[in-house]
Order: sequence, then C-alpha cells, then structure tokens
Amino acid sequence: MWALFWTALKKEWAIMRSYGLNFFMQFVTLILVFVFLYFGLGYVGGGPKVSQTQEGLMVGYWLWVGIIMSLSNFSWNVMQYAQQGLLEQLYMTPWRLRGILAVEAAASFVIYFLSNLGLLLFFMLITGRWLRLEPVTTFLLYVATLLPGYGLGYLLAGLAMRYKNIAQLFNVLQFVMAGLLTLPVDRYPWLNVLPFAQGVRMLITHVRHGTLAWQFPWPAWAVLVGQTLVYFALGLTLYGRLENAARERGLLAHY
Amino acid sequence: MAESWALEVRDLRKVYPHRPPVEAVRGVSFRVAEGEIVALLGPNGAGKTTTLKCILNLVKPTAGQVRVYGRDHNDQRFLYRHVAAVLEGNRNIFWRLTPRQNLETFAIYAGVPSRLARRAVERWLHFFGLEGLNRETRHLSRGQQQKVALAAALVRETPLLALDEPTLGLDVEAKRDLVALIRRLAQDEGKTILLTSHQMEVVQALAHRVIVIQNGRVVVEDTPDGLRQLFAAQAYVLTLRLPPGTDLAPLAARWQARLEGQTNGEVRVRVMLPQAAALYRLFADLEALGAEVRSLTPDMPDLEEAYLRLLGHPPPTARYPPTSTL
Ligand SMILES: Nc1ncnc2c1ncn2[C@@H]1O[C@H](COP(=O)(O)OP(=O)(O)OP(=O)(O)O)[C@@H](O)[C@H]1O
Ligand SMILES: [Mg+2]
Repeated sequence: MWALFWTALKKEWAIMRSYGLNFFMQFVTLILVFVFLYFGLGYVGGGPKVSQTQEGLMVGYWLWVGIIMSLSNFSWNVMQYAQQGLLEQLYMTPWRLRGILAVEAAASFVIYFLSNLGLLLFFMLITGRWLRLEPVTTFLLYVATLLPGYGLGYLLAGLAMRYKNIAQLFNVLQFVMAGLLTLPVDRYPWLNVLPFAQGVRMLITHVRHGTLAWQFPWPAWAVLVGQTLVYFALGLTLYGRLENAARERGLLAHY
Repeated sequence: MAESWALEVRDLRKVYPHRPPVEAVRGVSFRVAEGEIVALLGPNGAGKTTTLKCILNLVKPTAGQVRVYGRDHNDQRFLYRHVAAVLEGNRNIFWRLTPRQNLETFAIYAGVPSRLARRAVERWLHFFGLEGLNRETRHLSRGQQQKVALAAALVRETPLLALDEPTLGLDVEAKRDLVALIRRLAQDEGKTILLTSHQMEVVQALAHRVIVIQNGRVVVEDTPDGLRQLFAAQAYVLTLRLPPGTDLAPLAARWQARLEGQTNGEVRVRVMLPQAAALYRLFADLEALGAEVRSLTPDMPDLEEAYLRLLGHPPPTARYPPTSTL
C-alpha cells in the first residue's frame, strides 16, 4: 500500500514538473486574482468590517484554490486518461480504476497541499496580514473541507468516462464551488447539506478567535465528517454506475 | 484438462447498445494453449478489438464465457494477474514519464511486490533496449513508444499477453524489429500471446495459429501454412507457347490469370481456379486460344491471397496487363 502511494506520488510529481511552466502560470494567475480581490475589497468596502472581510476572503480563497486544484487535477487526469486509453490500463490492476484514482488523488493532494501552503505564505507576505494559524488545526480543517470534494471528483470522473468531454461542466462547477464556499451557513444551518461552507466558517473562526480543532463543538465536526461520508458514498455510487455504463458501451477508451 | 488452456472463449457475443445496436461479436469460440501465439485476423470492423476487450473484461460481454487459466474472467483479481494487454499501440502509457518511470509505475500499480518490480523493470528495459532512454516518452519515436508500451505490460509478469494491432503505424524496419521481439517473448520467455492484426505478413511471421474473423464470426481457424494450403491446389503457374498476337483478356477474366513473365516465345501465366477440377475447363479454354501448354506447376499463394479469397474478395493481384501485343 505504501509502495503504491509512493509510486503515485513520484509519478504525479514527475508529471507536474513536466508541466512546469503551466503549473507556475497557474500560481501567478491565482496570486493576481487574489491581489485584485483583496485590495479591491479595501477600496469598495470601507468601515470597520473590511479587515474582517479581508481575513475571510484570504481563508476562503485559499480553500477554494485548494478545492479547485485538487478537483481539476482529478477530473483532468481522468479526461486525459480516457483519451489515451490509460483508463483501460489502470482498470486492469488489482485495485481497479477507482483504487488507482484514489491513490493518485491522495498523492496529488499532498503535493497541492504543500504548494498551497506556499501560496498562503505568499498571500500573507504581500498583504502584510499574518494569520494566526495553528498547524494541526489548519491541516485538519483543510482536509475535512476538501474531502467531500472528492466525492464530487468521482462523479466527474464517471461523467468524463461516460460522456468524454466535460471541460464545460467543469468550468461552470468552479464558480458553483466559489458560491458554495460563501454560503451563510451561520444563518441558515440547513445549507450544511451542501459541501465546503462549514469548513470555511470553521477556519475563519480559528483565525479570528484562535479556536483549536478540539475546541469546536462536536456538531461542527459531525457536519464535516457527515458531508465527507455522504458525498463520498454518493460520488462513488454514481461513479460505479457510470463506469459500468461505459464498460457496457465500450467507452473506457475513446470510441 | 481445462488447466492446460491459457484461454478459453465460448460463444462470446457483444451487442453495443448503440442506436441502432451494433452486433460486433456474434458467437466467437476458440482456445489458446499455453505457449502459443494465436492471431485474430480480420478486416476493419470485424470485431477483433471487441473480442479482445471482452476477454479482458474491459467491455462487458453480452453473452458467452471466458476462462483464463481455467478461471472465469469475472474474477478480475485473478484475471489481471494472469493477463496484461497493449491495446492502443503507443498510446496507453504515460507520455510525460520516461520509459523507466512508466515501467516502475505500471509494475507497482499492477500489484507486483516492490522487490520483484525493480527486477522486472530492469529486465524488460534491457529486453527492449530501452535502458539509455531517459527522455519523456512523448519525445521518443513511434517504434520506441511501442516498445515502452509492451514493456509496461510485461513488467506485470503475467503469463498471457494480449496485443491489439501491435505493429500498426510502424515503418518497415520498426515492424520487423518488433515482430522479432514478440517472437522471442514466446520462444525464450514462454509467454502465451493473443494478438490481432490485419497485417498479413505480421501474422504469417508470428502466429502458430490464425483465427479469421469476419462480421463478428469465426470464418476459419488454422495454421498459417494450413490456411495457405487450403488454396494451394487451386493456383497454378503455366508456361504457354502462344500464337503471335493472342489476346489473353478472356483468360484473365475467367481464370484470374496474371502474367508472370515471358522468355523467347514462351509466357508464364499464373491462374486461379475455383476448384481443382476446373483444370479441365481451363485446358479447353487454352486449346481454343491455340495455346500449347509446356509446363504446369501448382503454386502456393501467400497468406494474404488465401485470406482474401476466404473472405470472398478477389485477390488484388488478379489483374491482367493489356497484352494483345503478345
Ligand atoms: N464502443 C463502441 N460502440 C459502438 N460500436 C462499436 C464500439 N466499438 C466498436 N464498435 C463497432 O463494432 C464493430 C467491431 O469493431 P471492432 O473495433 O471490434 O473491430 P476490429 O476488428 O477491431 O476493427 P479494426 O481492424 O478497425 O480495428 C464495428 O462495426 C465498430 O464500428
Ligand atoms: Mg481493432
């Protein structure tokens, strides 16, 4: 199992390095967008709330980047694999396609988490606002917030397999997810059936009040864990169906 | 004695739920013994790839049974430890990894234990002469990529290998090179190989047995030599002495005659007969032309000709040059 993960990590890293310039430009773009939003907010807003909003923006944007990067990597991989006949090769392993995809997702998650930490440091550097982040709490919340996204990732993977080109769908989803991150779950708790927002709230609370992971009330965590389980189960089930449909129709490779 | 078969396919059928449904495979049965190289031969759209993918469980068969080393192919753990495949030529490898990285990744992904995997990687890199290639696979030549794809399948160390059109798109030299390597896989490494191709010379050079598929059905199953002999008695080379100015066109039309050569007043003509008994009618025709038969020898057609006749196409060589000048 360790060997599998390590191999996937080396492989993902080698491929990312091969795309070096793209990878770099992605970061530059993300930083530019952030700078624009952050300082733009300063001009538009005004009043005492601005600094708090800016903090929220920083945390929210950071998580959004994490989600988008991990998810886009996941579904982009699947689209690429489908076109190259690699899905078939990966299917023909004892772990089956979904197992390999999970391991590769975990591997690229690690890589993206580390590079995202770098990004966050950079944000703090250019804004001069140093967030008080406790490493363990930050890591736990980051993981817990992103995990339900992988349920969605599997769904996207299934759709990519069955319908091939889902780039358009993915573009739309990026904005939907930005919306999900900013849902007012404080005011309307039932919105917690949707992923991401709860994690963002908790991370912002952590930044503002120094609340540590274990100091949050248990329902807060229950929501995160529950979402992960539900979305994973949902995503995997739908993925399984789509994979079967693709196999029935001979669509694992490009037809 | 089911154990001695590497592969048993019984009454395999596949209907793609397309609109309208596509009957790609309509009841294919065959077996492959251990150590054998068997080729599925057939024109475009015959159902070769579909048959292969059904065997590999990449496409869900509509009906039929597939057993690999005695075990049903729905036991996928067992299946993928016993069969590896190269399906889309050079395409199903990671283009942005080097050959070595590709092999390492596929070996571990296939569940080969780390220590064995390391050895397998070295072994197969060496076998294909890929050790020195430290560039990303996308920068390699088509032939090299094909070797990487093969090696990436072989590092899984499975006894059975399925290859879909392994020499498609290669130039003559790369093709010959690869054919030799595939033959060595069976001879020296004891691999059992099921391959598809529509390149006759590849099949002739490699296969112990040929299964001709057309329209999703097995038309015939034989050795390459057997397939040729099936028609051997029906092709003949005649040496004729003809009156000057004889028009050979009627001969060409009726007997698919082909001019082979001519030397001092004698012509050599190759004819194809629908059956051996038709020889008498040919002689009658020759007599009518005033031709004198100097010699008659049976001729072996090449596999391509045998194959085309089998599928009911006239051989492409049955053309006759305008020879009224003879
Ligand atoms: N995924 C699919 N969905 C629908 N029809 C398909 C699919 N794949 C193949 N077919 C059809 O099934 C038939 C058999 O195709 P197949 O690819 O198995 O033939 P083949 O013998 O491999 O041909 P080729 O020599 O061109 O590779 C063809 O009519 C093809 O168009
Ligand atoms: Mg084919």
